[in-house]
This record gives sequence, C-alpha cells and structure tokens, in this order.
Amino acid sequence: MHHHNHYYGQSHILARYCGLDDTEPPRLRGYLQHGWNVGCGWNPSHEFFDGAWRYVWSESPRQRGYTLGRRNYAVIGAPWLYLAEMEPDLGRVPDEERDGTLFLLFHGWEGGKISGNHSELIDEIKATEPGKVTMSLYYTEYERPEVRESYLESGFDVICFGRRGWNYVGTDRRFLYKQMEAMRGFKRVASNRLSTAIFYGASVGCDVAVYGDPMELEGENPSFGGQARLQRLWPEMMGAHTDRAVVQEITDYELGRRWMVPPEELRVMLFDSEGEN
Amino acid sequence: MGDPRVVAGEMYDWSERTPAGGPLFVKMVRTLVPEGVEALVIGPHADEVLTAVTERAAKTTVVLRSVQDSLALAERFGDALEIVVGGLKGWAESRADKTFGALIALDGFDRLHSNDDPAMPWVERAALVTSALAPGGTMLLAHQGPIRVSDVLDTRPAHRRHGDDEFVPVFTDATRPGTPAALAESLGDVRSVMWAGFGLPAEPGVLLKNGVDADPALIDRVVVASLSAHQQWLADPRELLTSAMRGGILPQLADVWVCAVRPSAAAADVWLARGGTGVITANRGDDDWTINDGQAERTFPRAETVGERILGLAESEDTPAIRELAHELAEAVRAGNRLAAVDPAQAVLQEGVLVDAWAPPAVALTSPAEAFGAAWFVVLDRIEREHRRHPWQPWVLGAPLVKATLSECGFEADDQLVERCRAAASKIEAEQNPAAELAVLRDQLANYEDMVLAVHELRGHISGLERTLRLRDGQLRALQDPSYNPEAPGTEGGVKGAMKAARRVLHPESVAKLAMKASQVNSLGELRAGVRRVVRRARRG
Repeated sequence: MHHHNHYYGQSHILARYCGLDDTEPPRLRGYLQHGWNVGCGWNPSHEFFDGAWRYVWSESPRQRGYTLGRRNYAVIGAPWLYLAEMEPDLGRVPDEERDGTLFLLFHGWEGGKISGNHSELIDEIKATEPGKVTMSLYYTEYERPEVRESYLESGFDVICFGRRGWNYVGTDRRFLYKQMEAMRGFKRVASNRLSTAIFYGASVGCDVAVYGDPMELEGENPSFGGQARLQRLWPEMMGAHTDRAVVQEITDYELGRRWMVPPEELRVMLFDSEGEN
Repeated sequence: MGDPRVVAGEMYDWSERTPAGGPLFVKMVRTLVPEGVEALVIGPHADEVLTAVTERAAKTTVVLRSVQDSLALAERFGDALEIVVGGLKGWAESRADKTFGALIALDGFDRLHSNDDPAMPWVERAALVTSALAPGGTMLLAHQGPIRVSDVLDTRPAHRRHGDDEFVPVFTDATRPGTPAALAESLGDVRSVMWAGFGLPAEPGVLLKNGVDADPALIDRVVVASLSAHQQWLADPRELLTSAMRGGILPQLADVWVCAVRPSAAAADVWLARGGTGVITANRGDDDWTINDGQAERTFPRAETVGERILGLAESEDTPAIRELAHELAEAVRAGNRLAAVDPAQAVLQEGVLVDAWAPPAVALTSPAEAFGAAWFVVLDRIEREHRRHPWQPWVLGAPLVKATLSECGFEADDQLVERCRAAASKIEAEQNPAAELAVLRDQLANYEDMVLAVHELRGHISGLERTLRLRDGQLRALQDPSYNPEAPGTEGGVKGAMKAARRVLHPESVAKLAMKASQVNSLGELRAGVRRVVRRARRG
C-alpha cells in the first residue's frame, strides 16, 4: 500500500467500516484519494504502479482520469462520509447550541509551504465573522510560530488536528475524528480556499464560506487551473455567505455520498489480504 | 403417385443438404396454408414440412432435382406425395398450364436449376415458379438476403461458404432482390406478409415481421438463434444485431426473409422456436407482447430487461444504480417466492414485479436467494464472456461480488449458497444459450490481450509491493531514529538525551544544513522560530 493511503487515518476508517483492524489496516491494492481534488484524484506528478486501482471519492476525478488515459478507477465516496455514518453522535450538539466559526487556513504540506498576507486575512475574517473565530492550522503552519502567533495575537483561538503522517510514521489515525468532533460544534466553517475542509464542514451541517487571500503554495501545479477555475466551476461555494441547500447538493456530489459502498462489498474491493499491510 | 416422374434436368449422384424444415416452417404451413387445395412444394424440404403440407392439402406435388433424394422420399411417403424429379426448366415445360392453390418454396428459388441447365437469373426462376400459383392462391417463400449477419461475421472467406449450391454463384445475380422491399416488389401487387428470419436459413429460430420493432429480450433470442448458423465466428453477432435493432435495420441483416402471399389466416408478428418442436407466436400491442405457446396465452411488457439494465449501468460504471436495481430485483424475487430460475436477459421488472419474457429457463431452484444469486452470476458471466466494460476489479467480478450482493440484499450469504447459485447459473446458461461456447475469433484475441495486460499489471503489482517495502523500510528507519521517535530503542531521556541530541544537532553536517536554511529565511523572527523548532525537536529526541 502506498503510504498516502494512511493520510489522515483514511485507510484506518475504511478498515473499521469493513469490520477489520483499524490500528494496522490491511494493505490496499491501489491508491486512495486523500483529499478533494480538481484533477484526476491525485497530484499530477504522483506515481502509480501499473495495474493499480484508483479509489476516488466521486465521479469527477474518474472522468478526468479517463480523459488522461488512465483506467482502473473505482468510485467509493470519501472516507469522511463512512466515519460520519459510524460516528453519528461524535461531537454532535443541538443545532441551537452550535456557535462560532472554524476557519481552516489553506495549508501547506511536507513538500511546500504557503505564503501570503496573514494580517490582511485576519482583518477580513474579523470584518466578516459575526461571532467567535477558531483558526485551524495544519501542523506545517501550526509549528511556524510566526504564523500561529499572528492568529493568537489577533484574539482567535488556534487549534491543530494533528499530522496526516509520512511513510506510515506520525499518522494521527484520529485526525478526521477530531476534525469531525470539532466541526459539529461550529455554526460556520470557512476557509481562504475552496478545499476539502469546506466540504467536510458542509457535510456535517455547517454553513460554509470561502473568502480572503487564497495564498500561494510552493510548487503548486498550474494544470489544476488555479483559483480562476475554482471560481468558474463552483461559484456557489464562494463568498462569505452561501446557500445551504445548494452547497449541500454540491458537497454530496463532491464527497461522493451516492457512491458509498456497503461494507461487504467494500471489503472485497479494497483489501486484497486481511493480514498484509 | 408412387415412383418419381422424371423431367429434363434430373441430377444424379447429388443430394441436397439442409432441406427447409424446423418447427417454425411446420407451424407456418399448418397455420397459413389453406386446407383442401392442391399444393406444390418446390425445392428440398424436410419430412416434417412435407407431412404438414399433406395434412392440409388435398393433393401434394413435390419437385426435386436430385434423383436419389426423390427416390428416398418416395420410399418414405409412398402415395402421399406426387414427386417430380428434374430441373426447374424441365418441370416448367412439363407443367403446361397446371396451377396450384398453395405453393411452398421455403428453400427459396436457388436450389432448383439443374446442372444440365444454362444459368438462369433469379427473376426468371421466380417467374417460372410463381406462374404455377393459382389466382388467389397462397405462397410461402424463403429468400436469403445479401447482408446476412452469419455471412458478415463468418470466419470463412466468401468463396468457401455456400456449399452445395455453389456451382452457380448466387449473390452476384443483379436481378436477385437485395432488400425485403425488393423481394415484396418482385412478387407483384399481392397481399403479403414478410418476416426477417434468424438462424440457419433452412431452419430459422426466430421470425420477426417487418415493421415490428424488436426489443432487448427478443434480440437475445435472435442472437441465440443466429449463433446456431456457425461453429466459428469472427465476432459475437450480439453487438451487430443489437445495433441494427436500435438503428431500425434489423431485417436487412436477417439470415433469411420469409414471405407469405395471401396467407389463409392472421399471421403472427413473431414466431419463436422453443424446446425441440415447440413454437411460440406473439403479437405486439402498444406496450406489451401477447404470446401464445400453443397451450396458454400471456402478456408481458415491452420494456428493457433486467439484464440490459444491469449491463447498461455497468457500462456507465454506475455502481449505486446497480445496487439499487439489485435491491429491486431481490425484493421482487422474494415477494414472488421465486423457485424457478431467472434469466436476466429474459426477465422484466414492472412496478416491483418480475415478469418473464419470451423464454424463461426451466431450471428448478430451492430458494429465492438461489434465483437471485444465479441471475447475478448469469449477468456477470455475460459481462466477462462478451468483454463488456464494467466497474469491478478482476478479483471482485464473480463469486465475491455475488456473495456481497446477496448479503447486501438481505439474503444470508454463505459459501454453500454461492456455490449453488453458481451451479444454477451454469444450468441456465446451458439451457438458454446452447451455443455460448462457440469459438469467437475476436474473443480469443481479446483474451490474449487480457492475458498480456494481466502479466503487465502483475509486474506492476510487484513494483507496488516493492514500493511498499521501501516505504515500510523508511518507516522502520524513522522509528529507529530517536529524533523522530522518542520510544526508539536505545533512546535516553533527560539531560543525557538532550546532550546527545544537541551533539547530533551540532554535528558539522547539521550545522552546515542549519546555516544553509538560515540563509533562506526572510526575517529574524522566522529564524528565531526555526531555531526554537530545531531545539524542540532535539529535546524530543
């Protein structure tokens, strides 16, 4: 199994859904999409071994992949949705008690960090958000004090859900559990880029918003089309205020709710050997 | 009656192969030929057809060109037949002005000319024969078209195909009708009905009236009938026939056109051979078919079959819709307590009720679960056999998917049940499509390509496993690295550990790296934060 499959504990969640060990999930004979993606499901430079299956969240990456000459796609829905099904009460509070905004800063990764104007973003968040704001930083930013402290000094709470891991090391297998638990307490989820977390937030009943400096990521691949493409394809998801019903429909599509696979079938599809890691 | 009467052009040392026969032609004679008339049967016909004619007609005359065939026939039928042996020209000259109330030419007008006769164009042969039909008489005629699906997809080149009638080229004759409309026109302004026949031209398995649309369940039967024409095919005719059906040109591809001039009774839209000598006839309504198997009449909707729906969804890789359909089918099977096998190609779901179409299999089962699982196997087998596009991994397609689907649909799926379903599916396939095991060249090529691909992908899988090993090796090295893992063997905590870490950090190489990194920072604050980060990591170690 490629170590990306372990990111955010996604393989662990799917293994649990299939009734398998979720501390050391069995090997997948292929690649699991690990984040919302506007390409074929992976970074354009991602390597694949021949004959590998590509497990994607929704139809769109499959269709884009086909046009790139790639095959062996299986659409299965986002592991997040499986987690939500297994943990219907995790972090859930009555709707009237949901409060504040969780702002997820567009994050860098182990191979590249983001750069942009954080102070301008802070001003815009303060001007937009009606209540308390909690900034969620990925560890790549959380561990950069100059970034973290700039948000703390602005009066925001700052949280980090952990590490997605690298080479199977340091994976917080409860990463998404923590994120789901937190999101279910917030009224709004926002970000400076349309990204995975926005769809996660919408899927657990948050109002969502996308605004502010989208920042730049080192080595960002231009073949994704940049911010302009996002704006063209998902205008309904953009802005400080969005229509909940429309957002829900788009979210269900992008996370692949319709494509979720029952456990018996998913187990056969994904895990080619129960004891192999 | 008795001994054959010889006219000019009789052929010695010659015997006709594959005379016109089979249950559909017999049923046609029994239904459409008027009773009590004098009948002429021209060309080679099987005994069962001749018997049917003699049962209807007051007197039956048979014209053959083969001496030995006519002698054998005389021996079998005795006085029941008047047999004339000779070529078409010789018979026509001997006929004088005699006409017949019924004319049966279900072998067509091709195997009538003698090897002693000069070649005669089709239109002249037709004129000679049809002139023997009495005014108002009934004629049953069969005629092979030029774009027969069994020729188009024959593995043999054209010059090796036409067997015993090859001594005079047949299809290069410009006067020969090349479309059903041209055939009808050649018969003049008479009331007639035309059917497209599929299968062996001399013994079609399905007849479909011109102007009556086929549907998926019927095309399935057309394909099965067509397959009986050969042992070896360039490609499975299903794709071509289905496309022709969708394009409205199915009759053009027929193996044979059958025409009834002034039939004596209402002519059914569809005639289907079923189970030896059994025949099903059917008429199309606006939304349904009414079929009669000779014992009872029933209707079923003209709709897409369960099998076609699954295949269509598989082609678009719509697995959620396939699961939805599986649930619908399971409910219908359970609600009907179905203990008879379901062939998805011959079953329609109508408002939650499973309805059998033309030819449901007769395989008996012990439970609805078995009926459902076997049906699922039949569809998956077809996907594999016909190399159809589908969404499943190779290790899922087959028993694992059937087991998972059974379970998802609420059946208690264990390995024994899956095995029973597998066995039942094989029985259904053998009964419904006896020709399924034919050699199909395109399939063989595709199988070869599949094997090459499988080898390539297995090599890829080995690379994948090697990649996993490398990554796991990296994991192990990282776990043994105290700077990454505080629980690594040999790691010491406290001041001693911190000193060790500091020594590691202050190693000349590390210092050089730090200096390089420091030169890339944008501000003193960032440098400070970076140093703090390094120290913190060192402490963790």
